[in-house]
Amino acid sequence: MKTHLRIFLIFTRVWRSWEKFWFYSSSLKQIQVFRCVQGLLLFCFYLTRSSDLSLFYSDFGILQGAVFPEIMHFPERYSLLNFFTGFVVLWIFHLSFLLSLLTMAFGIYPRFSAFLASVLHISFIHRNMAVAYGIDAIATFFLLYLCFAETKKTQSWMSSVLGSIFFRFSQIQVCVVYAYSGLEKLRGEKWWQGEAIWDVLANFQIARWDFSWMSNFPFILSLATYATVLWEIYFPVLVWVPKCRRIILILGVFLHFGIGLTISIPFFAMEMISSYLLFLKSEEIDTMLNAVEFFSSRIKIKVVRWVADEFFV
Amino acid sequence: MSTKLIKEFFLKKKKNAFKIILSVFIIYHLFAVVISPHFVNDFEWKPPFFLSSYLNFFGLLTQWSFFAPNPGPPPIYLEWELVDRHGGILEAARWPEFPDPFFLRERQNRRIVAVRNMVEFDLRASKMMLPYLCKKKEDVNRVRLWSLIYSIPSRLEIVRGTAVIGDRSQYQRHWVSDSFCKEPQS
Repeated sequence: MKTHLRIFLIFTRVWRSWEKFWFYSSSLKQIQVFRCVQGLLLFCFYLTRSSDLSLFYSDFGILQGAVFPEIMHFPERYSLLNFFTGFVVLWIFHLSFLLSLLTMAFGIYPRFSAFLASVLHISFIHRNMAVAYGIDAIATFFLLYLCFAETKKTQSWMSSVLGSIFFRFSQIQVCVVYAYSGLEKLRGEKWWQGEAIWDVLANFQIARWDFSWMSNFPFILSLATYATVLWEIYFPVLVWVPKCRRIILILGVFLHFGIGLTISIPFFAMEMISSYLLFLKSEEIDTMLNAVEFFSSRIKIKVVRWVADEFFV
Repeated sequence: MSTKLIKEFFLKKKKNAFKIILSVFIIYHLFAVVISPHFVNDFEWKPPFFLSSYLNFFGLLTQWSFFAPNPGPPPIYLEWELVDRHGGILEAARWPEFPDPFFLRERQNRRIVAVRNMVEFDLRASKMMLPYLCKKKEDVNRVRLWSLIYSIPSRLEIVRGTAVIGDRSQYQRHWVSDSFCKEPQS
């Protein structure tokens, strides 16, 4: 009897912790800011795709719709672009996608906007998977999760619970990305030898500038290589430890800032940094927003003064 | 009063039942996203039926291996020649263009990803590029394709001065295909 009671008590405790973690996380502020940043960031990123729509997603481009199943076997990956073809449709989809990202960012029907953005995003990805890369994959997850994320305080119990779950999914997704990325690196000899960062910098197809001068600093190259692997592997654990959370996030900002600066994937770097908003506390979000407001007002005042001095005095 | 209590009781029951259903979904989704990268790696596992549709439909089957196990392939390009009916070369170029002509690097990034995917299999490169290149000019009869793979100099080579980054002469040229735009009539 005593054992049964003990098991029951343990089960109750576990269930309560589970409930608290998944169903009652206070995520409103984080998710609102995250949604806004995601919407704007992805809008800018996918705006760059406008010039290449025909090349990547039409039958006049590098992958005809009919050929796709022959060269890449991905069953059950449906795309609206396979059912509705033609330039006009392509542009309608593209513009609708961009518009839905903007409305999502500004909180206009955010769930519906995220849903529309998600459907169109998946359609583009599935139409030509050969041109999809890191940021596209991450955006797929975030857009899907934002379809269910909380939008305002006065929502039904059900809506709030769903919002909480998908907020946690977003956090865990970031951890999954880093965990796999870090652990996969352990299989690569270049990462063990401390030469991986050099190989990235010396790849002229992806490096932003000529980094030949870095060859004189082997210690820095090795340190950066090992630090990257260690940081990625430990991120999924340490980000949940209150004492380590801030430092691991700050290191992440530096890492991605470095990536954005040295190799030409600034949007990917910003996407990953923006995901750290999910790990901030409400007070930290407030502080951040106040800082942004303060600096933007200072900039506004300076701009107004400059305009007044230049044109009206 | 009692009616209110009964209502509250059933509401609580309903909420608990809903939480259990949601918990099952949470475990399912977590299992799917945590295990999915294994289905696209070297082991070539196949997702079980209860996961494959879900992962594929929502585009969740992703391999999170940025710069891993080793940092990316070296610089890769496709070189092509458009040949007319008489064997004359109409146009020849590389794809993606070299050096990068775009102000917005994201445009070039997609091309780099595409070319990396293409050179995995010659057939893929040919199937993807042929219809596109055949439409480039009116008189195109045949398209010849090669892949160019550059080498990445080691740090010591740079220190010793025996190599430079971006040396255009250091590459391996691999023949991919020589295909007719339309099947020749015999």
